[in-house]
Order: sequence, then structure tokens, then C-alpha cells
Amino acid sequence: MRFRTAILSVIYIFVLGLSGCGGGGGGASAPTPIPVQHLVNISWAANREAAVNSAGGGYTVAINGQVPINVPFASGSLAPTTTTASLPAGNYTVTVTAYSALSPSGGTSGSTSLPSATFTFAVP
Amino acid sequence: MNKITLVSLLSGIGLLLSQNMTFAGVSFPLTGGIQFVPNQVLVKFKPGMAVSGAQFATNYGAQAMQAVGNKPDILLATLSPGQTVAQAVRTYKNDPNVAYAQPNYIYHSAAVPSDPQYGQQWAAKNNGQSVNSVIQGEGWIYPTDNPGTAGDDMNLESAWNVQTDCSTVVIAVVDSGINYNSTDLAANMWMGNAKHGQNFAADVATGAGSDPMDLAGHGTHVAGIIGAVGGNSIAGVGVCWKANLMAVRVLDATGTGSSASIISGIAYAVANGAKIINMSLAGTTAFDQAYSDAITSAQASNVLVVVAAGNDGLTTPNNDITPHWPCNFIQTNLLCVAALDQSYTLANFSDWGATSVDVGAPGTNILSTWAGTSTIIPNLISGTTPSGWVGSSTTSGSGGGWAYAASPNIGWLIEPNTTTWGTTLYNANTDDRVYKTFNLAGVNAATLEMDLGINVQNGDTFNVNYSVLGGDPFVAGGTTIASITTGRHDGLTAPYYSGINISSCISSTCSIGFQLISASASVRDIGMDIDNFKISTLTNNTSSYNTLNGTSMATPEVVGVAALVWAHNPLYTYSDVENAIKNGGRTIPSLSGKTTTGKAVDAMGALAYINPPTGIAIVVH
Repeated sequence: MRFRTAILSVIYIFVLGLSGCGGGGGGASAPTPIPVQHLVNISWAANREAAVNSAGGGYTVAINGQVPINVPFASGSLAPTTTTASLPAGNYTVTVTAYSALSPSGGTSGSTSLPSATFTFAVP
Repeated sequence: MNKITLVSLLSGIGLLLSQNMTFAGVSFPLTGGIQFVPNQVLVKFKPGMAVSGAQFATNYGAQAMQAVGNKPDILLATLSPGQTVAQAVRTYKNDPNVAYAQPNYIYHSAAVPSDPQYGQQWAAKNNGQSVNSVIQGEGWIYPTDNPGTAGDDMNLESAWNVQTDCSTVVIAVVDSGINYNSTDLAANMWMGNAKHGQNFAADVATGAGSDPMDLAGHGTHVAGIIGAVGGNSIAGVGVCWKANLMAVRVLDATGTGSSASIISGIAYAVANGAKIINMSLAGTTAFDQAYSDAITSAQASNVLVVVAAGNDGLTTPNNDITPHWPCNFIQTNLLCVAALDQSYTLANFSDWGATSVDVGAPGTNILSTWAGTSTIIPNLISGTTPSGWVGSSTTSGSGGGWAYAASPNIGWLIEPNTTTWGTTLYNANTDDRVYKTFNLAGVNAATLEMDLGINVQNGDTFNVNYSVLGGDPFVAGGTTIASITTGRHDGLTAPYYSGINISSCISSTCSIGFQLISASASVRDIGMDIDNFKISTLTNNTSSYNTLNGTSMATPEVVGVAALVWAHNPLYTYSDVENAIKNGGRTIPSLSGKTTTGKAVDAMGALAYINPPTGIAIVVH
């Protein structure tokens, strides 16, 4: 849910900025910079487990350890192996975890992989 | 009998509605992995619904609505691309016409085979049962932990809900062959040629197309553990209900093979598409470079080789100290297996090794297919005057010729002819023979074993011969199967001869005999004694079973699980399969410090195991 909070904050600042310009009375104050959002494409190699690539399977992508993005299997032979995030400048880490509907116990709780190796990147 | 296992419906819905939130096109995770059809929702309408199914579909952009069974008020909605089940369930539930909406959950049969001996197969389902099933030939019941501990099994019934069919994975059983006519195996044999494989053992004709029929039983037992047909209402079931078993015969009727035959067998398996090789073989010879190279070649072809740890647990149990081959080879496509009993204690016969043995698997009291009827003609020298033995000597007196002796419950053939063996020396310059003719007609294999004490001096010779012609086997037509000419075998400690192959003697007139030839200037000795003289026979049929113990039995349990995993994940490499078995196993105390993983194989754990994703790439726009 932190993504949601972050994105809403950006929109709020944007609206405030517009209001300031429209009022015409704030010429002496410095303009509030608008954080620049960059689209970031994240991709990974497809897992070879059939259960990851079928109903109930897929991946989660965690950026900076935050609530992960779910990338579920939809159709076809493989679950998607890309997702996109909109991020402001900064340094980030990303891990990808695979999941499936199969449970080691045979129940219905499903299973997840260990996270991938952590990938570090910067948004300028 | 199949039955439906109900999963928790209510908890599934709760999970969906509470956690599958979306925002700005980003889905947050649905944890738990409840299985449902990804583009379908079941909708139950309230009585007197104000809209038709078609109108409902139009209202919400669903592709179609169709009735389920004979319930006109329950419809199955097929969602349009881009719609998610979670969104649709939430939206539909808010419609005043809808009583409830839910995912179209996926169920599996609760797979329990109908095979009548299944209850004896504790490796699949251990409910604390006692195992007392079929025993014949070399079969025996392992007494410890029988019955064992409920739940100490391979979790196969769970796995069978996911996968029972391994037929897309060719499994080579490199062993004593397979009785491919067994009614519990025939449907699961590799169809690459008419004989379902090939023979490389030297006791029958070798070469292209030669017959890999099992004349020992061991390979058929291994094959049945992997892939006895499931659900056919015959005896037991393999780990794979459907399989693709290639018979690669490298061990002869005595269960013995050579480097050359094994290497040839591995090469054949790899060349003919095997993805997994079962080698329930072990030896303590020196490092065998050619054998190792054959496994390396298999690795290059993405072939997994699963091998037995060995059965020297009572003498040299630690493979890290006393290597057993092939277990101690270090190729990454090699998986070495120890044997567990019915309480998941390491079997007392099982070898182990903290750096050389990988996992454990059930290896005691394992019921499986057998190659035929095994018969042991016991102690053929029993009694004080056993019948049918014919003796001769070229010298006379107490030092010439053979005699019977009897102690309680055991009979002896002794040379020289004395009632108190060990006190009289055999004659110089003598040729002493004794033989008996046996009727072995109709059997497919025959082997000989005996306990033998030898005290001969240099220059003297002890021979064991047989003749398919009957009568004296030391005349023309006889065949020498053992000859000791190199000097004295000190003391009375009996060399134990087992598995002397006499299949070439199969007839109604197979004579077997013993001979002492002493030199004229011999330094004489007390001669030899022979006891526990037995002939074991195997008559192939289509319906035999046996209960055996060994790491040989644990190995195919793992092979079966590997095949289930590979069949379920056809994109897997051998390394993936190996990871799944090792990481999906169950940690058990008895394997701690005894294997590289400390784990027993768990079929469902292996199927559910997921490798961590790799290959992350980032593009910032």
C-alpha cells in the first residue's frame, strides 16, 4: 500500500502547484519542484515450473522491500515476466519471487520460491 | 477409488476479497495460491432475478453466461480479457440480483490406487501398518520398525493429486533387466524396440536387439517401484502410475556386471532418450575412470543419474571414508540415496556419507514386481546319507575320495574320505571326484552357491565343474566354473561362493561336481569341506512379486519422484529436478550429518518446490 500512498502524494503536490500558478499572487516564492516519475521496466527469466506458469501461479516483484507487485499467470504457456513501476529518482533494490498453487503439504496454501538475488539499480 | 477432496471454500473467498486489492492497474498479491479458473466466476442469482443471464453479461462486460448443471439460477460467467476474478466477484456481489459470486475453484481427484496390495506399500502411505507381504527367493522381512510410524512416507498421495503419469520421461533401469511381460509392468515399458531395451551382460547374447529379460529379479523389482501400473487392480503400484521404462540389462543372472557392460548400458540409455537412469548398483572397487566418464557423458545430455549408497552399513557404512561407486562420483547429475526404515530411521544396512550421500528414501520391506518364481533348492548335501552323489578316486585308503559328514542341521561333503575332517591328509597323486545330476528343466536361470573351506597345497587343484550331459562333469563336455590352483587358502575360514551362474547347464541332466587333483610330490593337506550347497532357480512368469530390502530399493523411490517432477515440469533440466528433490525433501533427524541434505525425499515437496527467479533486468525510461 505504500505505492498507493506515494503516488497519491505526487498527485497532491501537482494539484497544489497548479493552484499556486493560477492564483497569480505568489510571485515572490520559489516554485515547488514536481518530482519526476520514471517508468521502470523490470523483467526476469521465466521460471520452468509448470505450476508457476499456470492458474494460481505467477510472480511478485518487491521494490525496496515494499508491498510487492503481483504478476499473476493469465493465459498462455508462461506467466508474465515483466512489470512496470513508476518511480522517482533514487536508488532501489528489487527482488522477484515466484509462487504457485501447489503446497508442499498437499493442501491449498500454495508455495513460494525464495526471493531472487537482489538487483540494485538507480533512477536518475 | 477416486474421491473429491474439498478445499476450504469460505476461506478462499475471504482471502480473495481481503487481499487481492488493485490500484492504478497494479495488482497486489493474492497470497496462498488458491486454485481457480482464471477467467470464470460462478454467480448464484436471487429468486425472481430481474435480469437475464445475457443481460447480466452485457451489464458487466462478461463474454458469456452459461447455466451450470440443471441449476438455472447458477450461471458461469466467462470474463473478458483484462477482467480479473477478484474484480468480478466483488462487482457481482454488489448487484442486487446476486445472492453470491465466487471463483470457479479447481479440484483434483484424491488419488489412491485400487491396487489390492497398496496397503502394504508403506513408502507411499505409512499408516503404521505391518508389512508381511510376498516373500520368495532372496526376499526377506526387515524386522526393525515393522510396523513403523504413521506419516513417515513419501507423501505420495498428495503428489498423486497433481501427477501420476511419468510416461513423457524415459527412465532407464540399468540393472539385471526387466521382466517386460509382467502384467504390472508391460503397459509401462519403453517401446523403442520390441524388447523394450537391450542386454549388455555377458551371460546371454549381447548386441543390438538382444534380450534384456531379467533372469535375476532385481531389475524387475526396481522397475516396479518406479512404475508398476497404478489403478489396474493388480498387486501394488509404482511411484509413477504410468511410466516409460527402458530395460538396460548389465547384470547377469547372478546380479553381477562389469565396467564394460555398465558403461555400454549407460551409453545406450543416453543415446536412446533416457532422461533418468536408475542404477541400484554398488561396488567398492577402486575409482573407475571409464564408469565416471560415462556418467559425465550422461550429464552432457541432461540426464539425471540416481544411484544407491550401498548396503555395507554393518561393516563400512561411511562412504566418505570407504567409497562406494558410483555413489562417490562427484558429477552434479548424480544423486545418491540411503535407505530408511518404516520409522524413518536409517536402515542398519545402509551406507551413508555427509558429503557423498544426498537423500534418504524408503528402503526396507519394499513390495514390488519380481521376474518370476524363485526357488532355492536348499542344502543339497543335507542328511547323513544324501542321495544321488557319485564319487570316485584314483587312490585308496582314508586319504582318497570324498565322504559325507553330518553335524546337527547341516551336511557336508568332505575330502579326504574321513569321518573326522581336519585330521586326515588327502592322498598324493590322486584324482578324487564327486558329482550329482539335477533336473533343472523348465527354469530360465540357475545359480549355485556354497560355503567352501579349502586347504590345498601348491601344485594341487580343486575344481568345480558342471555338465549339461549329466554324469561325470570332469570328462569331455564338462565346463569348469571354479578352479583353485594357486596354493593354500589358509585355515578353515570358508570362502563363501555365491552366485555362480550355471544357467548354461539348464536341462533335465545337469550334473555338478567337485574334484581334487593332487600332485605326485604333493605336500598334502586336510582338503576341503563344502556345505550350504544350494541351487537357486528363476522361472520367468508374468505375476510374481517379492519383498526386498536395500538401498537398491530406496534408489527407485527417488527415481519415481524425479520422474513425477520432470513429467510435471517438462521445461526442467536435470539440475532443476535435483534441486526439487533436495530442497523439497523433509528434514529428518536420522539423516542429520549422514547426508548432504539431511532430508528424506518427499514427492509433494519436490513437486511444489520453486526455484528462485533469475535473470533480473531493469530498463529505466
